[in-house]
Amino acid sequence: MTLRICGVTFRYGSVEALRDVTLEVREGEVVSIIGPNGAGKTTLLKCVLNLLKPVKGAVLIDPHGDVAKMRGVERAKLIAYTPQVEAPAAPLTVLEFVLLGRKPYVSRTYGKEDLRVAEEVLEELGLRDLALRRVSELSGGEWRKALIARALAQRPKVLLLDEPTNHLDLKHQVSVLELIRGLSRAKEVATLMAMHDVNLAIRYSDKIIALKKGTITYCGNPNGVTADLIEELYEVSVEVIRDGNGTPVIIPRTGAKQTCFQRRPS
Amino acid sequence: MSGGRGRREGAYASLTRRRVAALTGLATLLTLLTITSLSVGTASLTFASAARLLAHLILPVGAPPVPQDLMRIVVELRLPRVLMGVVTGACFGVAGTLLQSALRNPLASPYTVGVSASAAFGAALAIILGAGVVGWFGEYFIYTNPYAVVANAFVFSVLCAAMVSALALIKGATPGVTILAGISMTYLFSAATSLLQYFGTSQQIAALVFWMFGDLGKAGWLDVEATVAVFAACFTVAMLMSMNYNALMLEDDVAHSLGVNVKRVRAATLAMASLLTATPVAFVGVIGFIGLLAPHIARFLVGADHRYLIPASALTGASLLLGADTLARTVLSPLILPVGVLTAFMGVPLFLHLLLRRGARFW
Repeated sequence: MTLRICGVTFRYGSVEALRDVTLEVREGEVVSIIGPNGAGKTTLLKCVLNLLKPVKGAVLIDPHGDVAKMRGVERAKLIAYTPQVEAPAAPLTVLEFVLLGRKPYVSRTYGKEDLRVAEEVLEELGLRDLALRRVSELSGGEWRKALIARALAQRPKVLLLDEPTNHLDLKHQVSVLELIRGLSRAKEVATLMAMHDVNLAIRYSDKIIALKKGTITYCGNPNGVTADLIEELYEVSVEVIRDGNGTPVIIPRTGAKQTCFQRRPS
Repeated sequence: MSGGRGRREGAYASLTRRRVAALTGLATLLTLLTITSLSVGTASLTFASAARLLAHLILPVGAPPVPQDLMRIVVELRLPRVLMGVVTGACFGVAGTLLQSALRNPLASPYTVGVSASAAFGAALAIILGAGVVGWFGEYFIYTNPYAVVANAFVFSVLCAAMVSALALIKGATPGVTILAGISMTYLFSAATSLLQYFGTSQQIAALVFWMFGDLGKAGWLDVEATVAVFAACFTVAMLMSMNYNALMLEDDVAHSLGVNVKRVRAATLAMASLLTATPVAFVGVIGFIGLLAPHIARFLVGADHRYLIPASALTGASLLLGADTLARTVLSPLILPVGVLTAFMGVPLFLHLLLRRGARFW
C-alpha cells in the first residue's frame, strides 16, 4: 500500500498554492513536510483528503485507486486526518470522542467491534484511564493523543497529521512523535505530517519534503538536510552540526548575520 | 488486561444505562404532565380519573370511566390542546437540537433561521391585506377561512428558511454566515410586518397581535394530525442521521475526513428544522424559547450523543411546553394566559440556573 501524490497543482482563485507536487509515502513510513508558513503544507494535506480538489494531478492510494473517485465513507476507511488546531467539542467523554473515529464503519449504532477497536487504541496511546474523562478536561498532550486515537480508530492506511506537536511541551512533543513513529511501523500506516520544528522532523521521519511557495525544493533522507537548504527555505541563517549518530541538528544563528536574509525597503 | 477490558465495556454500558434511565424519566414526566393537564380546567377531574380516561382513549375497552358530557369536554376541547402542546414542544426541541448541531452554535434555535419573523409576516399579509398565497380566492375566503392565515404563515416561513438553507449550500458558507443570514432575514421580515401594521386598522392589528402571541387553544384535530405527521417524518430522518450529527460536532474538515457530506447534511437539517418550526408556528403562532432551552436541558441530562439527545430534546421540549400551558390555564383561571409568556417566565430562570451551575463547560 502506497500513497502517491502525482503532479498535484492547486489554486486558491488565481493564487497558485501548489505546483506540480509529486511524492510517495509507503506503508510504515513517516514523511514530514517542512517549510515556512504559507508554503502549502496544509493545502497539500487537504488535497490528499479531497477537501480541496487539485486543478491538475491526482492523489492515488495503491492499490485502492484515485482518492477523488472514492465515496466519502470508502475514503474515510483509508485516510484519517487530524487538523492543526481542533477545539474539544461538546460534552463528550474521551471514549465517545474516539468512537467517533468509527463513523465510517457505523450506520446506526456502535457494535462490539467498534468498542473493541476504541478500547485497543486508547490502550496503545496510554489513554486507558482517561476513557470516561471529558475531552474538555484533558491537558494539551492528552488532547493531542486523543486526536490521534480518533484517527487511528478509523483503522486508516494513510494518516495525515497537521502539526501534531503544536502547543506541546518538549516531553509531549517527544512522546507524541515516538508514538506516531512506532504506530506507523506497527500498523503499516503511511504517515504524512506537516511539521514546523525542523529538528524533530529530521529526528522522527524517514523522509523530509521541503516545500516553498508550493514547490518541492528537497525530497529525501533526513540526513541529507543541509544548511543551504534550510537557509534557502526559511530565509534565516543557520548552522548545521551533527549529533553522535550523524543526525543533522539545525541551529539558527543569532545576531548580525541574520539581517542579510531580511528583506527591508531600501 | 482482560479484567480492565471487562471493566470498561461495563463503563460504556453504564453510560448507556444512565442515558436510557434519563429518557425513561423524561417520558414518565411527560406522561404525568399529560394526565395533569387533561385533569385541570373549569370542569375538573381527579388525577386518577384523568389517567383512566387517557387509558380508555388509548385502549377503548369496557365502559368510559367518566360521564359522557365530561368525556366530550375533555376529548373535544382539552385533548387537542394538550396533544398540540406535546407535539409542538417536541417539534421545537428537535428543531433546536438539529440546528445547534448542524450550525455548531449553542445560540442557534428554530428562530435563528428567521422562521418566526417570516411566519408573522405571512400572517400579517393575510390578516391586514387579505392577500398572499391563497389571497387570489378573494377577501371573502380569507376572512371566513382561518386556514388562509395558517397557509400564509407556513409558506412564508418555509420560503425564508429555504433562502437561508440555499445560502448554506453555497460554497464557503460557514455556520456563522448561515446564522447571520437568518438574523438578517428576521430583520427584513420584522420591518415588512411593521410596515403592514402601519397601514392596518386597529382591529386588524389586534388580530395580528393575538396571532403572534402563540396560543395552543387555536389548534383543532386536523392541526394536531398535520403537526404529528411532520414531526414523525422529521424525527425518523433525524434519528437515522444521528451518527452524522455526532460527527458534525467536530470541525467541518474532520467531519469530512470521517466520510460525512457536510454541506448536504447541513442543508437537509436546515430544511427539516424549518418544517419542524413552520408547521406548529403556522397553527398556534409564535412560541419562543423552547427551541433554545430544550436542547440544552436535554444535553445536560443525556450528554451529546445524538442517538439519545434527539429523543431527549423532543421529550424535554414537550414537557416544557405542556407544563407552561398547564400553568397558563390554571394560574389566573378562568383567564388563560398566552403560553409564550409563560415559557419565557419559566424558562429564563431555569436556563440561567443551569448556566451558572455548569459555567463554561455548558456547551
